[in-house]
Amino acid sequence: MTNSELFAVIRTKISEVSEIPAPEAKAGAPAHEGKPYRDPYLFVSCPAAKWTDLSRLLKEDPQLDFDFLVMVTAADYLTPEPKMEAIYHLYSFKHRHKIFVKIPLPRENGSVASVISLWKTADWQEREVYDMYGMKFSGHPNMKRILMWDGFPGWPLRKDYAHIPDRYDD
Amino acid sequence: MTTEVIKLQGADLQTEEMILNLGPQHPSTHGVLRVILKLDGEVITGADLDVGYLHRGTEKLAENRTYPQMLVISDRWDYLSAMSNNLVWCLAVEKLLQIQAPPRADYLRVIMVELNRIASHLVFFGTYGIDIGAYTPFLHAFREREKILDLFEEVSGARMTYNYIRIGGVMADLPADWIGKCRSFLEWMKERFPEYDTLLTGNPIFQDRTKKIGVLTKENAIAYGVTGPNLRGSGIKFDLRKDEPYCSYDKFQFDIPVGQDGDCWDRYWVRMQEMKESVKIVEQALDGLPAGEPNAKVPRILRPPHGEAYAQLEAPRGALGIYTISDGNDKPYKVHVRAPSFINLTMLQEILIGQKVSDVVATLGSIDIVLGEVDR
Amino acid sequence: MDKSVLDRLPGLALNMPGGKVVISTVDYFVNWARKSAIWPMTFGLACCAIEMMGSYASRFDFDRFGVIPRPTPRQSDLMIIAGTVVKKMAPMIERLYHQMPEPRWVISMGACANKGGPYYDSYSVCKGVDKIIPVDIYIPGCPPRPEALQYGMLELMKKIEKMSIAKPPVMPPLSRIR
Repeated sequence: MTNSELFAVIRTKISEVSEIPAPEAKAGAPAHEGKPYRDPYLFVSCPAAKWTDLSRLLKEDPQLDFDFLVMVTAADYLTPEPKMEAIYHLYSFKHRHKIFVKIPLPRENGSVASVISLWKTADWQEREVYDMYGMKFSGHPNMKRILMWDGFPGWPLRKDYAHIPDRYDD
Repeated sequence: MTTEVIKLQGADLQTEEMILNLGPQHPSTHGVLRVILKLDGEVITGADLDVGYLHRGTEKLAENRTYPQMLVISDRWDYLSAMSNNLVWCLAVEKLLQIQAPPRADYLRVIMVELNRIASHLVFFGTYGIDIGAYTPFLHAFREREKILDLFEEVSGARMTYNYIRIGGVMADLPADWIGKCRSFLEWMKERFPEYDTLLTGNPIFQDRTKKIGVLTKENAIAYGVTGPNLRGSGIKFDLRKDEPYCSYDKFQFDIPVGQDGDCWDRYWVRMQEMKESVKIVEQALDGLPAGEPNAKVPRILRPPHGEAYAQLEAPRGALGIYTISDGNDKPYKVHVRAPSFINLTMLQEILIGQKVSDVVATLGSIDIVLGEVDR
Repeated sequence: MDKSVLDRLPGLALNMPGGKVVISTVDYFVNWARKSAIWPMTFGLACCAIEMMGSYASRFDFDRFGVIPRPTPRQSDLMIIAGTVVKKMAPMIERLYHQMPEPRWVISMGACANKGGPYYDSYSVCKGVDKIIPVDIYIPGCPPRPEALQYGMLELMKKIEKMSIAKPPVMPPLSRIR
């Protein structure tokens, strides 16, 4: 299915999702910068409250049938306004189409529903996002740090992470 | 004593769950992985995995390194197949820059990645033998691997962390007599496959220890996001080289071996067949190597425009992907590595339940993880 | 406490005339025995471990030096730290070091174990294994070739030749293990 068909199917069921347009060259960008690139797949933005419904629709609707969760990650922005985004990438074995879903969240106490009941692979990937960004996933049975040890101070991949040197550093 | 009396006595036993720690330092955990097993006698009732003992923070380091400097770090994710890591990083950055590597570079990249696939599967073959208890195949595998590492050393200067595939092409063209040496290596390699069959594949002890052990069903494989030979061992024919061809893979003829039951034996068998297919691909690439420049024109300081790119390829362990966001600077804004070993490892928690504790090492070895990729 | 013959010998011999000759002869044989059969613990952490495995394999055979890998620290006298030392793993390395019986040596193999390597500015990497355990030989490289590791082993053997039973090794302090 093409991007617009996919988006049409999603939009009829859940009206709060919106398609993220391809990035345009910024107004003050220097001449050598060239045209910004984004992959030619469908990128949608979904509010955090609707993620449970959207994820169930993406998995169970027979026209969409996204049975493979490829990647769960997050991005942290301080400019132009502070926000964090949870980014999901899904793939369908049957129809061979892909989708990226971005969910904007506040930087402090942001939380989004866990999709571990739909795709079991979300288990560790959501724990990794929690470990690195401090973003909690509600409904996850084991929301603990996975790569750092349990008492580690701070969320390393945030843009304002201040490293506290300990005895292992120079 | 009669068996009835023994059975009655066994029924009165009060058993407790025992926690067994397969600790970070263990000869068979392929690195620093901690598996916490809950045992009821000899049967495993639960398995927890504790990773992060090799977490080097490369995703944060990426924000302090320029795009070419990240190639050095990318070698060390899956250190057994460093060419694939280099290639996926270059594919992602080339997407952002919207440049295309020339055809000769594509073929050279394919040759290097496939030779690296053979080297990586040889390490799997050797270390899986050691895990099961057979110490000799390790020496045979490393003898072949040394020949491949000699080829790589002539081309890139390093034995393991090559940094050969660069953004826009490759580091340098092939030396003068490299193609002849590669062809003689391929002839030698083809004669070694029957040798491996007599050493391990046809060995009845090996087959007893790996058949019907660690079965991964098709539904579980898709639910856990498993890719690579683990997915193909469970019967799903999905290979990124055929389904989403990159780097002119669509010009080569090769098969995708697929297993049937999803047990350890199938995963082992798929990797052995993949080595034979890789030999075929390298021969076809050497035959059809186009002439020309091995590098595209790339600016000296790389400043990709704003944007994001997701590139993935079929590494020996699964679908390796890089998701990167650029904000116009010479350093990436965000890099996320979709590491196949990290995601494949979650299936261990499910397939170990119900097995005996003596099968843990065989099951863990058949997933073929590399801790550098699990923890990044 | 029970002291072995080697522990009591310096006290006895150095008080006799000609005692130093006895000590140096005993030293020669004891050091020859120790350096000819160094048994390292298999402790590969990351990429350097693969080069260490390559040096045990047939091309760069380590067995001709008398080096046999042992899986447990209780039966080994050398620990080759091959790979990046991460802060989460550091207490385990300390514990393993203290589980090795004396005399014990440590080879730090690779740039990551020497001083942090390519991850010198990472938040989770211990910048050099000598922040937790005393190191005898440092081998540079990323990863060092198997020949480099074998050269490091030969240098360790030269270091062992200079040991003496009259000067016992110093036990490093046991820091708070998390």
